[in-house]
Amino acid sequence: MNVAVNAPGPLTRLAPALPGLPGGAPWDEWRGCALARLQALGLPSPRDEAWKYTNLRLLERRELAPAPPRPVDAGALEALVPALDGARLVLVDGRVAPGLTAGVLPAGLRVTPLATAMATLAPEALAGGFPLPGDDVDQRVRLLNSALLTDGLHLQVDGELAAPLHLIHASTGGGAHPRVIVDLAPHARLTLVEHRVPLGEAEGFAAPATEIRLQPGACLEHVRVQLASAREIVLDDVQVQVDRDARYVQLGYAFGGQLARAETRVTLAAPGAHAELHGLFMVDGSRQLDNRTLMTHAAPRTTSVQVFRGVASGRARGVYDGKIVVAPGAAKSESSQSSRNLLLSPQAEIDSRPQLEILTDDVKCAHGATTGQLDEDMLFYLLSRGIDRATARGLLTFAFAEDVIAKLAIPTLRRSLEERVVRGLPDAELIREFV
Amino acid sequence: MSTKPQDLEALVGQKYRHGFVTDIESDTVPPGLDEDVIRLISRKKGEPQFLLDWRLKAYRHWLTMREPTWAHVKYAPIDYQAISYYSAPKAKTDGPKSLDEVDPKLLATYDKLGVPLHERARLAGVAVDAVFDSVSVATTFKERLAKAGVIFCSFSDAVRDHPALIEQYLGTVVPHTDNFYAALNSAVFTDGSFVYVPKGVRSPMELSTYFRINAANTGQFERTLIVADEGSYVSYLEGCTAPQRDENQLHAAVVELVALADAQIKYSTVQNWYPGDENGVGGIYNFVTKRGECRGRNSKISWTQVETGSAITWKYPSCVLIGDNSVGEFYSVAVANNWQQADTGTKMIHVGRNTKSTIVSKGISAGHAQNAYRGLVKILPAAEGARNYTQCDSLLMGDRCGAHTFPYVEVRNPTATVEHEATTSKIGEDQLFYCLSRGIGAEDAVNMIVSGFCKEVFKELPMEFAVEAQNLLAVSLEGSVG
Repeated sequence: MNVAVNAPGPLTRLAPALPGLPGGAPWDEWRGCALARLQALGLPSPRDEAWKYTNLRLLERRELAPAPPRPVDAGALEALVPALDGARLVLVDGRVAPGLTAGVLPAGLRVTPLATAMATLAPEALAGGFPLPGDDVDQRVRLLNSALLTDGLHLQVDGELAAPLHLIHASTGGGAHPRVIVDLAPHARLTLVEHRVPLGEAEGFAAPATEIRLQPGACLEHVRVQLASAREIVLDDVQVQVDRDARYVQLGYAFGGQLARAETRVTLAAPGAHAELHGLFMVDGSRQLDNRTLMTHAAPRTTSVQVFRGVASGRARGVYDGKIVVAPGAAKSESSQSSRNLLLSPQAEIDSRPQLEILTDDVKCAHGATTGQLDEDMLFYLLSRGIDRATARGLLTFAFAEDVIAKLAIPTLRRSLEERVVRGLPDAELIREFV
Repeated sequence: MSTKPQDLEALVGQKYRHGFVTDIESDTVPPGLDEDVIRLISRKKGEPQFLLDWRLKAYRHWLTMREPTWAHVKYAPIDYQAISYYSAPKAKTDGPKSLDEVDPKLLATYDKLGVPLHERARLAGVAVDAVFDSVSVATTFKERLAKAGVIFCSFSDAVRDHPALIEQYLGTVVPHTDNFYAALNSAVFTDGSFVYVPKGVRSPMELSTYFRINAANTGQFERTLIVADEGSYVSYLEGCTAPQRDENQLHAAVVELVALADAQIKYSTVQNWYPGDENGVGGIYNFVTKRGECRGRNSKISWTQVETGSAITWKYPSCVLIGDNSVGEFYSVAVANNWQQADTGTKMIHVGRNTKSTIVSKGISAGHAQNAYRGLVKILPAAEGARNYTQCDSLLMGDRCGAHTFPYVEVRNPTATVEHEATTSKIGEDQLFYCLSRGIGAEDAVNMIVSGFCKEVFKELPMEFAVEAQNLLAVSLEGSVG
């Protein structure tokens, strides 16, 4: 008797978890619909072109169902994240934790916890409509998030917010399926800093989904720091809609997770829309970090920039898989994509796939990708100045990562990330003297 | 500065020049595919048992496979039971002893195509193993090659005369299980070319083959095998044209190259099959598996291709760099006009130490065409010091066509250096303006700029092909830019 065939897959185990999730009958129906569609599609496999590089065997035995609410100590949390100016919101295992909220919410920001709103509003009425994902792209992660939706936040911004808004995703183990919706009114401005941190070392699974809608002229700087534990799987899904002359800038820093996949899909929907994705991923051990982007230029005169830097050591695997689509009629669009990767050990692997799909002629698109080791000339220069090889390699690796970290405008955050990078390098003490 | 739209349409809408059908008796089996058809093909060709067994093994495996769908192309489903898998010009006697005995209509066909068969063959200095609807009818320059020890013959002749070589090398580069179309080809291939260059021999001339698809509804399943033994060199040219048809024809060829230590193979292709008319009706489906293995130290395989034809092109000439210091090269110009779809590129798989590969791909899209580059560079853990450079540029003419780049870069050795660069743009207004201001007409200016864009690839082609390729390009693109 073959045990593997009879063992219930992670999806078949989910049905019992559905009752008891927030919201009334309309939400149960909505979630059931998402689960049925997901079961029909099945979990992704390496045969799917979009999941070719992602090791999904880990998922087979992982508990996906939402974790029960657990109390969390505010002190433990504060030790893990830097203190920033501005208000702080916390989600623990995907549920809003009002007790951990800190600071005063600024005028111009409206925060609605979703679980509360779901109790009174049907899916069509919440946050401007809550449609299930379409079939145009592979959105199985989003379907999973929908099927198990526990809680989340709807952030509405009207006006220019000077201080950053700090959103912390803390995990204590088990499944987390929050939804974060960010709506920026015309000409609104926000810096949103998201931190993913583990409380403890329990096995975990998170499939958070984020929906960002920028009205004309709005501007969002979206900083994402991912420090999940080495026993967590994170499948992160971000969808961004950028309207006329609006601007979306994402600064992503991924360090943690046993398997962490971050997918960002941006649609530049009207002329003048602009998006930038800057990403740094550093992976060691036998972990995997997977970065996917889809940048769609749907209107003329839209611009986008993507800069990704990856470092893999140990037996780790890093992936950058990015695609630019310039739709028919999106003339005068400009788009660029750069993926540079550093392999620090013989067993590490980096897979890079910068793709272009151009459907109109009057555009400028370019991409470049390199993968290699540290530059011999630079190493030689440092060695000739009396710096030993290990430190020299550390310094150059730091400089490689600093390319993306230097984009950060918040000094406390920048320092905390620099410290995170230095800590992972050999001769950390010596390198600190230099930087 | 723009040309009037009706001029453009007239120019773009040029009729396919090689569209004609030779009316000769064909010995064709009824459409459909089962084990009996494969046995029939094998019997008709008088094949040894090992080959029949291999075909059947491939067929049985093919039945378990699904048609791949990942390519960036769209087409109506193919009915594999509607294809006739064997078509041979009827044997009049025991086969022609010389050119005089060859069917004059066949020779006339070659004349129209400009194949240098008789005197012209000597002038052109090219040995031609002309494949006409799956069976080779004439081979020239055999003696001169035989003197050098080079075997260059049709695949059927090779099976008869050199079965040991076939058994040793067939399917070792592209196994019968490789992919859907390679498996189908392995089961039903009818003919093709075979080249063996012995140790230390430099082939005294460029080898060339012309493929033609002639009888309606017979998909062509060619099989080419080139083996370059230690220290040898061979340059092989392949050129294709096909008569005009209204229904789509499937072409699923397999090309296998084997380069042993210090050997070099240069494989050049000019592909100009019928691309369909201006409404996207008809045209050839070109689903080809081409792969070379650099098995020995310091060996080299170089692919050069100019792709202007076919309704759908789906091919990835690849190099598996096994021997230390071996070199793989891929130079490609792919032109897609009207409703053509091309998904083409290469795979460079680095296994040995200090292996090097270069990829230069130029894609040109016009009309409603979709042109995709899809390339894999894979550095395996043992490929110490491996090096790859990839450059793929796309040129768009018109706002309804598409240019796509899908590179796959997989690096598993830290001493390797891999670089990929790509750009997509339209023809520079400044360049056009400069030419026009110097009194050069719009058409000539576009040709000049496109030639410049493709120059890096054309310079890799043998002389006679380079000229043909330039002309082909000009014909394919005339009037596409205004």
